[in-house]
Amino acid sequence: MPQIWYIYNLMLKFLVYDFKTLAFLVLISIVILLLDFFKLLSIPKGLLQQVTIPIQYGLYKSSTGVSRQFGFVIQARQAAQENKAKSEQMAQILLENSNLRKKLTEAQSFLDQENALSDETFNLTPSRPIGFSRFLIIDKGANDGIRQDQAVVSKANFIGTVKEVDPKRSRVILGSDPDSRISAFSQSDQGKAKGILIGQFGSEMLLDKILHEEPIKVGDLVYSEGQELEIPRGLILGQVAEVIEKDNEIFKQAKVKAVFDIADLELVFIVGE
Amino acid sequence: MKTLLLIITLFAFLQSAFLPVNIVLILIIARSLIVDDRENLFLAFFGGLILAFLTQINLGYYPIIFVFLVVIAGMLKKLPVSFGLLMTFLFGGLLITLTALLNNYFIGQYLEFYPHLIEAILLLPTYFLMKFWEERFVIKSHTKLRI
Repeated sequence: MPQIWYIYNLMLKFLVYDFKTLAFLVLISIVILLLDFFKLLSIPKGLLQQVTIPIQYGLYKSSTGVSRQFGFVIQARQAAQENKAKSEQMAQILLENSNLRKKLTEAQSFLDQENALSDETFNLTPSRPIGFSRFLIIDKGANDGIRQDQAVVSKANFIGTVKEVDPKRSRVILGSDPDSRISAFSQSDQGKAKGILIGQFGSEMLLDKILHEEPIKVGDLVYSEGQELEIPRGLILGQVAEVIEKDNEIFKQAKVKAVFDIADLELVFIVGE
Repeated sequence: MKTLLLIITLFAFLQSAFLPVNIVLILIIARSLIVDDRENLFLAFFGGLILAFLTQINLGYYPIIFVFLVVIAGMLKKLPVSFGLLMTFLFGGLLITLTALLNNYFIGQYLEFYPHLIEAILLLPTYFLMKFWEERFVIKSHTKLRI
Protein backbone atom coordinates (compact mmCIF):
# COMPACT_ATOMS: atom_id res chain seq x y z
CA MET A 1 0.00 0.00 0.00
CA PRO A 2 2.73 2.53 0.83
CA GLN A 3 4.43 1.69 -2.52
CA ILE A 4 1.27 2.45 -4.46
CA TRP A 5 0.92 5.69 -2.58
CA TYR A 6 4.53 6.53 -3.42
CA ILE A 7 4.05 5.86 -7.14
CA TYR A 8 0.82 7.86 -7.11
CA ASN A 9 2.66 10.81 -5.59
CA LEU A 10 5.38 10.50 -8.18
CA MET A 11 2.86 10.51 -11.02
CA LEU A 12 1.12 13.47 -9.55
CA LYS A 13 4.37 15.31 -9.06
CA PHE A 14 5.43 14.74 -12.63
CA LEU A 15 2.06 15.58 -14.07
CA VAL A 16 1.75 18.72 -12.01
CA TYR A 17 5.30 19.72 -12.85
CA ASP A 18 4.76 19.59 -16.60
CA PHE A 19 1.07 19.28 -16.79
CA LYS A 20 0.51 22.27 -19.04
CA THR A 21 3.13 21.20 -21.57
CA LEU A 22 1.92 17.63 -21.50
CA ALA A 23 -1.70 18.59 -21.91
CA PHE A 24 -0.83 21.01 -24.70
CA LEU A 25 1.20 18.46 -26.64
CA VAL A 26 -1.35 15.70 -26.16
CA LEU A 27 -4.09 18.01 -27.28
CA ILE A 28 -2.17 19.03 -30.39
CA SER A 29 -1.39 15.41 -31.10
CA ILE A 30 -5.04 14.47 -30.86
CA VAL A 31 -6.00 17.35 -33.15
CA ILE A 32 -3.35 16.28 -35.68
CA LEU A 33 -4.49 12.68 -35.36
CA LEU A 34 -8.07 13.64 -36.12
CA LEU A 35 -7.12 15.98 -38.93
CA ASP A 36 -4.98 13.33 -40.53
CA PHE A 37 -7.64 10.71 -39.94
CA PHE A 38 -10.11 12.80 -41.93
CA LYS A 39 -7.47 13.50 -44.64
CA LEU A 40 -7.38 17.19 -43.94
CA LEU A 41 -3.59 17.29 -43.91
CA SER A 42 -3.12 15.82 -47.35
CA ILE A 43 -2.03 19.05 -48.99
CA PRO A 44 0.73 20.03 -46.54
CA LYS A 45 1.82 16.40 -46.33
CA GLY A 46 2.00 16.19 -50.11
CA LEU A 47 4.08 19.36 -50.26
CA LEU A 48 6.48 18.12 -47.61
CA GLN A 49 6.77 14.76 -49.27
CA GLN A 50 8.07 16.50 -52.39
CA VAL A 51 11.14 17.27 -50.30
CA THR A 52 11.43 14.19 -48.14
CA ILE A 53 10.77 11.43 -50.65
CA PRO A 54 13.93 12.12 -52.73
CA ILE A 55 16.01 12.11 -49.53
CA GLN A 56 14.43 8.86 -48.39
CA TYR A 57 14.93 7.36 -51.84
CA GLY A 58 18.59 8.42 -51.84
CA LEU A 59 19.12 6.92 -48.42
CA TYR A 60 17.34 3.75 -49.45
CA LYS A 61 19.44 3.39 -52.61
CA SER A 62 22.63 4.06 -50.67
CA SER A 63 21.71 1.48 -48.06
CA THR A 64 20.90 -1.03 -50.80
CA GLY A 65 24.28 -0.41 -52.40
CA VAL A 66 26.11 -0.75 -49.09
CA SER A 67 24.20 -3.88 -48.11
CA ARG A 68 24.92 -5.31 -51.55
CA GLN A 69 28.63 -4.75 -50.99
CA PHE A 70 28.44 -6.38 -47.58
CA GLY A 71 26.26 -9.07 -49.08
CA PHE A 72 28.93 -9.71 -51.68
CA VAL A 73 31.52 -10.21 -48.94
CA ILE A 74 29.19 -12.58 -47.09
CA GLN A 75 28.33 -14.40 -50.30
CA ALA A 76 32.02 -14.70 -51.18
CA ARG A 77 32.66 -16.15 -47.74
CA GLN A 78 29.76 -18.57 -48.12
CA ALA A 79 30.95 -19.49 -51.61
CA ALA A 80 34.44 -20.16 -50.25
CA GLN A 81 33.00 -22.38 -47.52
CA GLU A 82 30.78 -24.19 -50.01
CA ASN A 83 33.72 -24.57 -52.36
CA LYS A 84 35.79 -26.11 -49.60
CA ALA A 85 32.95 -28.46 -48.67
CA LYS A 86 32.46 -29.40 -52.32
CA SER A 87 36.18 -30.02 -52.75
CA GLU A 88 36.04 -32.39 -49.79
CA GLN A 89 32.95 -34.07 -51.23
CA MET A 90 34.64 -34.26 -54.62
CA ALA A 91 37.71 -35.88 -53.05
CA GLN A 92 35.42 -38.35 -51.31
CA ILE A 93 33.57 -39.08 -54.55
CA LEU A 94 36.84 -39.49 -56.43
CA LEU A 95 38.04 -41.91 -53.77
CA GLU A 96 34.79 -43.88 -54.00
CA ASN A 97 35.00 -43.76 -57.78
CA SER A 98 38.57 -45.01 -57.64
CA ASN A 99 37.57 -47.86 -55.32
CA LEU A 100 34.64 -48.75 -57.57
CA ARG A 101 36.85 -48.71 -60.65
CA LYS A 102 39.36 -50.87 -58.86
CA LYS A 103 36.62 -53.32 -57.92
CA LEU A 104 35.28 -53.24 -61.46
CA THR A 105 38.72 -53.93 -62.87
CA GLU A 106 39.16 -56.77 -60.42
CA ALA A 107 35.76 -58.17 -61.31
CA GLN A 108 36.69 -57.88 -64.98
CA SER A 109 39.99 -59.62 -64.24
CA PHE A 110 38.11 -62.44 -62.52
CA LEU A 111 35.84 -62.78 -65.51
CA ASP A 112 38.72 -62.73 -67.98
CA GLN A 113 40.60 -65.24 -65.88
CA GLU A 114 37.54 -67.43 -65.73
CA ASN A 115 37.31 -67.34 -69.52
CA ALA A 116 41.03 -67.98 -69.95
CA LEU A 117 41.68 -70.62 -67.33
CA SER A 118 38.69 -72.22 -65.75
CA ASP A 119 38.90 -72.47 -61.97
CA GLU A 120 37.27 -75.83 -62.31
CA THR A 121 40.54 -77.02 -63.85
CA PHE A 122 42.95 -74.83 -61.95
CA ASN A 123 42.77 -73.83 -58.34
CA LEU A 124 43.34 -70.09 -58.71
CA THR A 125 44.08 -67.72 -55.84
CA PRO A 126 43.59 -64.01 -56.67
CA SER A 127 46.20 -61.57 -55.47
CA ARG A 128 47.02 -57.90 -55.90
CA PRO A 129 50.47 -56.72 -56.96
CA ILE A 130 51.75 -54.37 -54.25
CA GLY A 131 55.22 -53.62 -55.52
CA PHE A 132 57.63 -54.24 -58.31
CA SER A 133 61.39 -54.00 -58.51
CA ARG A 134 63.28 -57.02 -59.77
CA PHE A 135 60.58 -59.24 -58.35
CA LEU A 136 56.86 -58.70 -58.37
CA ILE A 137 55.51 -58.51 -54.82
CA ILE A 138 51.99 -59.76 -54.25
CA ASP A 139 49.73 -59.47 -51.21
CA LYS A 140 49.23 -63.16 -50.57
CA GLY A 141 51.64 -65.32 -48.63
CA ALA A 142 52.05 -68.49 -46.64
CA ASN A 143 49.01 -67.62 -44.51
CA ASP A 144 46.91 -67.83 -47.69
CA GLY A 145 48.35 -71.17 -48.69
CA ILE A 146 50.90 -69.88 -51.17
CA ARG A 147 53.97 -72.03 -51.68
CA GLN A 148 57.27 -71.63 -53.45
CA ASP A 149 57.46 -72.32 -57.23
CA GLN A 150 53.74 -71.89 -57.83
CA ALA A 151 52.95 -70.28 -61.17
CA VAL A 152 51.46 -66.80 -61.28
CA VAL A 153 49.23 -65.96 -64.23
CA SER A 154 47.01 -63.24 -65.59
CA LYS A 155 44.34 -64.55 -67.92
CA ALA A 156 46.29 -67.08 -69.97
CA ASN A 157 49.57 -65.20 -69.67
CA PHE A 158 52.40 -66.54 -67.59
CA ILE A 159 53.84 -63.91 -65.27
CA GLY A 160 56.30 -65.81 -63.18
CA THR A 161 56.78 -68.25 -60.36
CA VAL A 162 56.71 -67.67 -56.63
CA LYS A 163 60.28 -67.26 -55.47
CA GLU A 164 59.98 -66.41 -51.79
CA VAL A 165 57.03 -66.67 -49.46
CA ASP A 166 56.45 -64.54 -46.38
CA PRO A 167 53.42 -65.00 -44.12
CA LYS A 168 51.45 -62.24 -45.81
CA ARG A 169 53.19 -61.56 -49.09
CA SER A 170 55.27 -63.28 -51.73
CA ARG A 171 57.90 -62.43 -54.30
CA VAL A 172 57.37 -63.57 -57.84
CA ILE A 173 60.27 -64.09 -60.20
CA LEU A 174 59.17 -62.95 -63.62
CA GLY A 175 59.63 -64.84 -66.83
CA SER A 176 61.96 -62.08 -68.03
CA ASP A 177 64.26 -62.42 -65.02
CA PRO A 178 67.77 -63.70 -65.93
CA ASP A 179 67.36 -66.52 -63.38
CA SER A 180 64.16 -67.77 -65.05
CA ARG A 181 64.28 -70.81 -67.30
CA ILE A 182 61.15 -72.39 -68.70
CA SER A 183 60.69 -75.03 -71.35
CA ALA A 184 58.60 -73.48 -74.10
CA PHE A 185 57.44 -73.83 -77.65
CA SER A 186 56.31 -71.45 -80.32
CA GLN A 187 53.29 -72.21 -82.42
CA SER A 188 52.86 -71.14 -86.01
CA ASP A 189 50.76 -72.31 -88.92
CA GLN A 190 53.80 -74.26 -90.13
CA GLY A 191 54.32 -76.14 -86.90
CA LYS A 192 55.95 -75.93 -83.49
CA ALA A 193 59.45 -74.93 -82.41
CA LYS A 194 60.60 -76.10 -79.00
CA GLY A 195 63.20 -74.44 -76.86
CA ILE A 196 64.10 -73.06 -73.47
CA LEU A 197 62.92 -69.60 -72.59
CA ILE A 198 65.60 -67.74 -70.70
CA GLY A 199 65.05 -64.35 -69.11
CA GLN A 200 67.26 -61.46 -70.16
CA PHE A 201 68.02 -58.20 -68.50
CA GLY A 202 65.12 -55.94 -69.22
CA SER A 203 61.77 -57.06 -70.47
CA GLU A 204 63.04 -59.39 -73.17
CA MET A 205 63.44 -63.15 -73.09
CA LEU A 206 65.40 -65.47 -75.30
CA LEU A 207 64.00 -68.72 -76.68
CA ASP A 208 67.13 -70.82 -77.02
CA LYS A 209 67.97 -74.32 -78.20
CA ILE A 210 65.63 -74.30 -81.20
CA LEU A 211 66.52 -76.78 -83.87
CA HIS A 212 67.21 -75.33 -87.29
CA GLU A 213 64.54 -77.42 -88.96
CA GLU A 214 61.83 -76.27 -86.59
CA PRO A 215 59.78 -73.38 -88.01
CA ILE A 216 59.65 -70.12 -86.11
CA LYS A 217 58.98 -66.60 -87.29
CA VAL A 218 58.35 -63.13 -85.92
CA GLY A 219 54.88 -62.76 -84.40
CA ASP A 220 54.52 -66.37 -83.25
CA LEU A 221 53.23 -66.79 -79.74
CA VAL A 222 55.39 -68.71 -77.28
CA TYR A 223 53.70 -71.08 -74.85
CA SER A 224 54.77 -73.04 -71.81
CA GLU A 225 55.63 -76.64 -72.46
CA GLY A 226 54.39 -77.88 -69.10
CA GLN A 227 57.52 -79.82 -68.19
CA GLU A 228 57.89 -77.90 -64.93
CA LEU A 229 55.61 -79.35 -62.33
CA GLU A 230 54.00 -76.12 -61.25
CA ILE A 231 53.60 -74.44 -64.64
CA PRO A 232 50.62 -75.68 -66.66
CA ARG A 233 51.08 -76.32 -70.36
CA GLY A 234 49.78 -73.78 -72.81
CA LEU A 235 50.30 -70.55 -70.90
CA ILE A 236 51.36 -67.66 -73.11
CA LEU A 237 54.92 -66.63 -72.36
CA GLY A 238 55.38 -63.98 -75.01
CA GLN A 239 55.62 -63.23 -78.68
CA VAL A 240 58.57 -63.72 -81.01
CA ALA A 241 60.12 -60.34 -81.81
CA GLU A 242 63.22 -61.48 -83.71
CA VAL A 243 64.67 -64.78 -84.96
CA ILE A 244 68.47 -65.16 -84.63
CA GLU A 245 69.72 -67.83 -87.00
CA LYS A 246 73.43 -68.53 -87.63
CA ASP A 247 74.58 -71.25 -90.01
CA ASN A 248 77.61 -72.22 -87.95
CA GLU A 249 75.60 -72.91 -84.81
CA ILE A 250 73.58 -75.99 -84.01
CA PHE A 251 70.59 -74.17 -82.56
CA LYS A 252 68.84 -71.01 -83.45
CA GLN A 253 67.44 -68.46 -81.06
CA ALA A 254 64.50 -66.07 -80.95
CA LYS A 255 63.98 -62.88 -78.99
CA VAL A 256 60.65 -62.99 -77.21
CA LYS A 257 58.77 -60.02 -75.82
CA ALA A 258 56.08 -60.11 -73.16
CA VAL A 259 52.56 -59.52 -74.45
CA PHE A 260 51.51 -57.44 -71.44
CA ASP A 261 52.93 -54.68 -69.30
CA ILE A 262 53.46 -55.77 -65.75
CA ALA A 263 52.53 -52.29 -64.49
CA ASP A 264 49.03 -52.63 -65.97
CA LEU A 265 48.09 -55.63 -63.90
CA GLU A 266 45.41 -55.03 -61.28
CA LEU A 267 45.01 -58.62 -60.25
CA VAL A 268 47.07 -61.77 -60.75
CA PHE A 269 46.22 -65.37 -59.98
CA ILE A 270 48.37 -67.99 -58.34
CA VAL A 271 47.87 -71.41 -59.82
CA GLY A 272 47.40 -74.00 -57.10
CA GLU A 273 47.09 -77.71 -57.25
CA MET B 1 17.72 20.78 -28.04
CA LYS B 2 18.44 21.87 -31.61
CA THR B 3 21.20 19.31 -31.95
CA LEU B 4 18.94 16.59 -30.64
CA LEU B 5 16.16 17.65 -32.98
CA LEU B 6 18.58 17.42 -35.90
CA ILE B 7 19.78 14.01 -34.75
CA ILE B 8 16.21 12.79 -34.31
CA THR B 9 15.33 14.04 -37.79
CA LEU B 10 18.32 12.24 -39.24
CA PHE B 11 17.45 9.08 -37.33
CA ALA B 12 13.85 9.29 -38.54
CA PHE B 13 15.06 9.50 -42.13
CA LEU B 14 17.42 6.56 -41.66
CA GLN B 15 14.73 4.54 -39.93
CA SER B 16 12.12 5.23 -42.57
CA ALA B 17 14.59 4.45 -45.37
CA PHE B 18 16.11 1.16 -44.33
CA LEU B 19 16.72 0.57 -40.61
CA PRO B 20 14.55 -2.16 -39.06
CA VAL B 21 14.93 -0.81 -35.49
CA ASN B 22 13.21 2.21 -33.95
CA ILE B 23 16.23 4.41 -33.22
CA VAL B 24 14.13 7.52 -32.65
CA LEU B 25 12.39 5.70 -29.84
CA ILE B 26 15.74 4.57 -28.42
CA LEU B 27 17.03 8.12 -28.38
CA ILE B 28 13.92 9.51 -26.71
CA ILE B 29 13.84 6.77 -24.07
CA ALA B 30 17.58 7.17 -23.40
CA ARG B 31 17.26 10.90 -22.82
CA SER B 32 14.13 10.51 -20.69
CA LEU B 33 15.97 8.06 -18.43
CA ILE B 34 18.82 10.55 -17.97
CA VAL B 35 17.31 14.01 -17.89
CA ASP B 36 13.98 14.89 -16.38
CA ASP B 37 12.82 18.10 -18.07
CA ARG B 38 10.11 19.36 -20.36
CA GLU B 39 12.41 19.25 -23.39
CA ASN B 40 11.84 15.52 -23.45
CA LEU B 41 8.18 16.13 -24.14
CA PHE B 42 8.95 18.44 -27.06
CA LEU B 43 11.54 16.06 -28.43
CA ALA B 44 9.07 13.18 -28.15
CA PHE B 45 6.38 15.22 -29.85
CA PHE B 46 8.52 16.41 -32.75
CA GLY B 47 10.33 13.08 -33.07
CA GLY B 48 6.99 11.28 -33.21
CA LEU B 49 5.62 13.75 -35.71
CA ILE B 50 8.61 13.44 -38.07
CA LEU B 51 8.69 9.66 -37.75
CA ALA B 52 4.97 9.34 -38.36
CA PHE B 53 5.23 11.58 -41.38
CA LEU B 54 8.19 9.72 -42.86
CA THR B 55 6.77 6.26 -42.19
CA GLN B 56 3.33 7.12 -43.61
CA ILE B 57 1.48 6.61 -40.34
CA ASN B 58 -1.22 8.85 -38.93
CA LEU B 59 0.63 11.98 -37.89
CA GLY B 60 -0.86 12.09 -34.41
CA TYR B 61 -0.09 8.52 -33.45
CA TYR B 62 3.63 8.57 -32.65
CA PRO B 63 3.56 11.98 -30.89
CA ILE B 64 0.96 10.71 -28.40
CA ILE B 65 2.77 7.42 -27.83
CA PHE B 66 6.19 9.04 -27.44
CA VAL B 67 4.90 11.79 -25.14
CA PHE B 68 3.34 9.24 -22.82
CA LEU B 69 6.49 7.11 -22.98
CA VAL B 70 8.43 10.13 -21.78
CA VAL B 71 5.99 10.53 -18.91
CA ILE B 72 6.40 6.86 -17.95
CA ALA B 73 10.19 7.07 -18.31
CA GLY B 74 10.18 10.16 -16.05
CA MET B 75 8.24 8.23 -13.44
CA LEU B 76 10.60 5.27 -13.68
CA LYS B 77 13.53 7.61 -13.28
CA LYS B 78 12.08 8.87 -10.03
CA LEU B 79 12.02 5.36 -8.57
CA PRO B 80 14.56 4.91 -5.79
CA VAL B 81 16.88 2.65 -7.81
CA SER B 82 20.28 3.34 -9.28
CA PHE B 83 20.40 3.40 -13.08
CA GLY B 84 23.16 1.01 -13.99
CA LEU B 85 23.39 -1.23 -17.03
CA LEU B 86 20.82 -3.70 -15.78
CA MET B 87 18.12 -1.23 -14.76
CA THR B 88 18.55 0.78 -17.96
CA PHE B 89 18.21 -2.41 -19.95
CA LEU B 90 15.17 -3.54 -17.95
CA PHE B 91 13.31 -0.23 -17.99
CA GLY B 92 14.29 0.44 -21.60
CA GLY B 93 13.16 -3.05 -22.55
CA LEU B 94 9.89 -2.46 -20.73
CA LEU B 95 9.23 0.78 -22.61
CA ILE B 96 10.23 -0.75 -25.95
CA THR B 97 7.94 -3.74 -25.33
CA LEU B 98 5.12 -1.40 -24.41
CA THR B 99 5.60 0.56 -27.63
CA ALA B 100 5.75 -2.67 -29.65
CA LEU B 101 2.49 -3.85 -28.11
CA LEU B 102 0.80 -0.52 -28.82
CA ASN B 103 2.13 -0.51 -32.39
CA ASN B 104 0.86 -4.02 -32.84
CA TYR B 105 -2.56 -3.08 -31.52
CA PHE B 106 -3.04 0.28 -33.23
CA ILE B 107 -1.09 0.16 -36.48
CA GLY B 108 -0.84 -3.60 -36.96
CA GLN B 109 2.95 -3.78 -36.76
CA TYR B 110 4.23 -7.35 -36.40
CA LEU B 111 5.63 -8.35 -33.04
CA GLU B 112 9.16 -9.52 -33.70
CA PHE B 113 11.48 -10.52 -30.92
CA TYR B 114 14.92 -9.83 -32.38
CA PRO B 115 14.47 -6.25 -33.61
CA HIS B 116 13.13 -5.29 -30.17
CA LEU B 117 15.95 -7.12 -28.44
CA ILE B 118 18.40 -5.20 -30.62
CA GLU B 119 16.61 -1.98 -29.69
CA ALA B 120 16.95 -2.82 -25.99
CA ILE B 121 20.65 -3.62 -26.42
CA LEU B 122 21.23 -0.47 -28.49
CA LEU B 123 19.64 1.52 -25.72
CA LEU B 124 22.64 0.87 -23.46
CA PRO B 125 25.35 2.58 -25.56
CA THR B 126 22.85 5.31 -26.48
CA TYR B 127 22.11 5.86 -22.81
CA PHE B 128 25.78 6.26 -21.90
CA LEU B 129 26.53 8.45 -24.93
CA MET B 130 23.58 10.63 -24.08
CA LYS B 131 24.67 10.78 -20.47
CA PHE B 132 28.13 11.87 -21.57
CA TRP B 133 26.56 14.49 -23.87
CA GLU B 134 24.14 15.86 -21.30
CA GLU B 135 26.70 16.03 -18.53
CA ARG B 136 29.39 17.65 -20.63
CA PHE B 137 29.03 20.98 -18.85
CA VAL B 138 28.44 19.58 -15.38
CA ILE B 139 31.46 20.22 -13.18
CA LYS B 140 32.51 17.16 -11.26
CA SER B 141 33.43 17.55 -7.62
CA HIS B 142 36.89 16.12 -8.20
CA THR B 143 37.64 18.51 -11.10
CA LYS B 144 39.87 21.31 -9.91
CA LEU B 145 41.65 24.09 -11.69
CA ARG B 146 45.41 23.78 -11.61
CA ILE B 147 47.14 27.02 -10.77
